[in-house]
Amino acid sequence: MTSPTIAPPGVSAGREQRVLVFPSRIRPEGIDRRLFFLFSMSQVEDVARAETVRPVPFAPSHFAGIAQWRDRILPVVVLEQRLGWAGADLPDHGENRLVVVRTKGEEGYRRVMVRARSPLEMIPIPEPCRPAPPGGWLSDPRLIRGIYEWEEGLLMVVHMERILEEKEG
Amino acid sequence: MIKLLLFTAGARRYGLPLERVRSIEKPDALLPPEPGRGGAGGITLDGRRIPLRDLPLLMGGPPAPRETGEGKMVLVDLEDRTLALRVDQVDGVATVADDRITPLPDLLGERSRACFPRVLKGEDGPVLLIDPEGVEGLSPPPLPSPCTDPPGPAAGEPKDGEIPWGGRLSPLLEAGRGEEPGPARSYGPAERRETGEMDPAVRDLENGLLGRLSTAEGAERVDRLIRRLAREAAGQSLSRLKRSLRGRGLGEEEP
Repeated sequence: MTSPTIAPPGVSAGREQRVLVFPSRIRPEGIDRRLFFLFSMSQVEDVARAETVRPVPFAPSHFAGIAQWRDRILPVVVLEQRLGWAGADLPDHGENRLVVVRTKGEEGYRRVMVRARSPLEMIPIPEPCRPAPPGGWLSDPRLIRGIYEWEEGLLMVVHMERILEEKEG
Repeated sequence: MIKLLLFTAGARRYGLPLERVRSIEKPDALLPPEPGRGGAGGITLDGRRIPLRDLPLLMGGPPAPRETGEGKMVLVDLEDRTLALRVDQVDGVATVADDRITPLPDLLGERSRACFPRVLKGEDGPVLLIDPEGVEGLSPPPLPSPCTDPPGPAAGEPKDGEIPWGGRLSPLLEAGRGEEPGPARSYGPAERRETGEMDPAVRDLENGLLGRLSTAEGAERVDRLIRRLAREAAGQSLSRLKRSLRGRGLGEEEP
């Protein structure tokens, strides 16, 4: 018996609901399928070109730096680095975009930019889309809200609030 | 409107409120680094010793081209003292509207915010504005011995914005600072430093010559040394060096 088809967390399972999907830059050890990140449209405010990301010395390693967006300065987060995948700190020669993501903070909403590798796709909620068990390749499952089987690989919904929490240690 | 002094350090641009700048000097009166402080030396001005912070070294990032010479010293006024900041080049003064300056986002961490509490929304991208008081307390983070670092593109070919290669200088500088050598490392025991057979780079480290060089000269020399050690490690020259040292009774014994 297969798991029921459900909508990922934060995504209403309505008709023609669309989500943003982009591939992970890294395929962690222990996984043989392609990995994609999924964000709901309620999270995404914009997708910008990764023109000038200014590194910030002494910032946590999962921040690539800061970038300007609509007259604001936003931190640029590298999900693969935060998830602790080997090689995530190496230069990325692929074409990049910055996804402006709105997330809840301690004092209301806040925005960050997520470094994303092309192609970024706006797609209807994939069906079938079934929950997948977290694998050993996830060093900190708390950072993930869900993993879903998809015909092109695995879809991951990250827990942005926890991603942005200060790392312990 | 606010006037900012813009300068380059480690191939990246930074800014500083001009009102904090006392003067800009040529680095012709460098003093050796202070013991125990990475990249921190001093200069003399009017007979006074002024502490120095080497920004390209402290901030990491890709090394700046050195053909411009030894860079400049920006002297800044703190509350009751003066601090010298070594930079690669001074780019000029910009007058910007107050609303072009914004706080650094909280998520970047306390240490970053202490050094760069504000950001200029520049035409070519963000420019970090330095707080001299925050920079005054900086020293490069300690890292493991360079001999145990995995050789990678960062040491041989620094990539823009990705690898804080400057941080790797710390153990080398620490190894060479002061009269007393640091603890023995895998490249040879310190008590054998008198030999003329030892690899010159290792001998320099163990004799503490780097600590007696001026900051600018030392930085260049360490830069070359890092590249060379990385190449040697990649080509297993380091193994040959260790075998050679062991053959002369200078290195560790085979397990």
